[in-house]
Amino acid sequence: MSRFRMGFASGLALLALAPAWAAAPSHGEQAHGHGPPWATLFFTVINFLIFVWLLARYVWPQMRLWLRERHTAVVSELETAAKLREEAERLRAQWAERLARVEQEVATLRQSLLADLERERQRVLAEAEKVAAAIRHDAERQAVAELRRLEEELRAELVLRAQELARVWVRNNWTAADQQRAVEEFLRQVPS
Amino acid sequence: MSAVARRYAKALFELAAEPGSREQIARELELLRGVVASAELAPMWNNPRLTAEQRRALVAALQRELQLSELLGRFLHCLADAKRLRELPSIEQAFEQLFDESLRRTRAVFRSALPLDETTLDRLRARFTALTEKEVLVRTEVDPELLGGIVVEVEGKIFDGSVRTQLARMAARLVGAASH
Repeated sequence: MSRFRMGFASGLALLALAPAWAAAPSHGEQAHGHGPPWATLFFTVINFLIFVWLLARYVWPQMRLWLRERHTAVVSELETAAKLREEAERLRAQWAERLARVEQEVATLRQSLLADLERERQRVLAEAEKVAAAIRHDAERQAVAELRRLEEELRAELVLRAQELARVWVRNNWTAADQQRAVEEFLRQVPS
Repeated sequence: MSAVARRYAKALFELAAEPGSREQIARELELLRGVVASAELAPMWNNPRLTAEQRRALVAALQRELQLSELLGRFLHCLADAKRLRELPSIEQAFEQLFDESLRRTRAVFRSALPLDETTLDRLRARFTALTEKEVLVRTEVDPELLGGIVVEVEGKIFDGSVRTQLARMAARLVGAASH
């Protein structure tokens, strides 16, 4: 840094002295003819030194502070960029891995879906069979009940017809002897 | 039979305490019941619009024509004044019941498909006399609808030995057996 400061100060001194060197012959020629204009050179040097002192006192610290902050910001941004890059690399690797696994996952998903569909199909079939069995059972029960009802109706009708036939037969064929037997039976049944 | 009829019958029965009086009252009540139930007299006897005088005149005419006893005549006038002439059949029935009970006898109806001969009637009467432990007064009826056999009604009970009922029971058993 000191070398930089020395080089920087030397450069500034040459720049400040250059006009003096350039103007010196014209003053000498006017005043004394030949020889360097020492007084002009002296004051120029003084001016230059004051200028250097002012730069070193007020400009250089601010500049150095700015340079340091700039350096820190650049370093920080570089670090952030490096982190972002690492994250991007990680995500890229992750996505690459996922992409590599997509086909496998699709196949797994397809198998799972097919298995679910098969299970659902079996469940629906079992449910349908159960409902069909219930309907068949109800139909059989109703058929049996209807058959029994018809049987009872038929039997009642037959009994009614038989009873009517018996009434007609008894009315036409009942004799005094039958009446006597009926009375005897009645007397046996009446409690004494 | 209403409670009113029973009360009137009991009063008449207690009033007829003299020997032979109850038999006479019973006979007269039976005769009177037949007369007031006749088609000629029933509308007037059961007419609620008759005045007290008309009712008394009707009763007096009946007493005179049928030669009813003094006690029954007074009883009929009492019924006429109380507007209870229409209760006479029930009163007669209740009186008959009281009279029968006092003589330890009961009435039975023998209904048969064919007429019963005397021997059979005697056997039946004897059986129901033994059953009720009372003298049994029998009324016979011939009912061809019974088809055969006999039905006896005595003291509110029915002893059914008819062929019609036996056929009905048999039919009910057959139908019942089918349903079980």
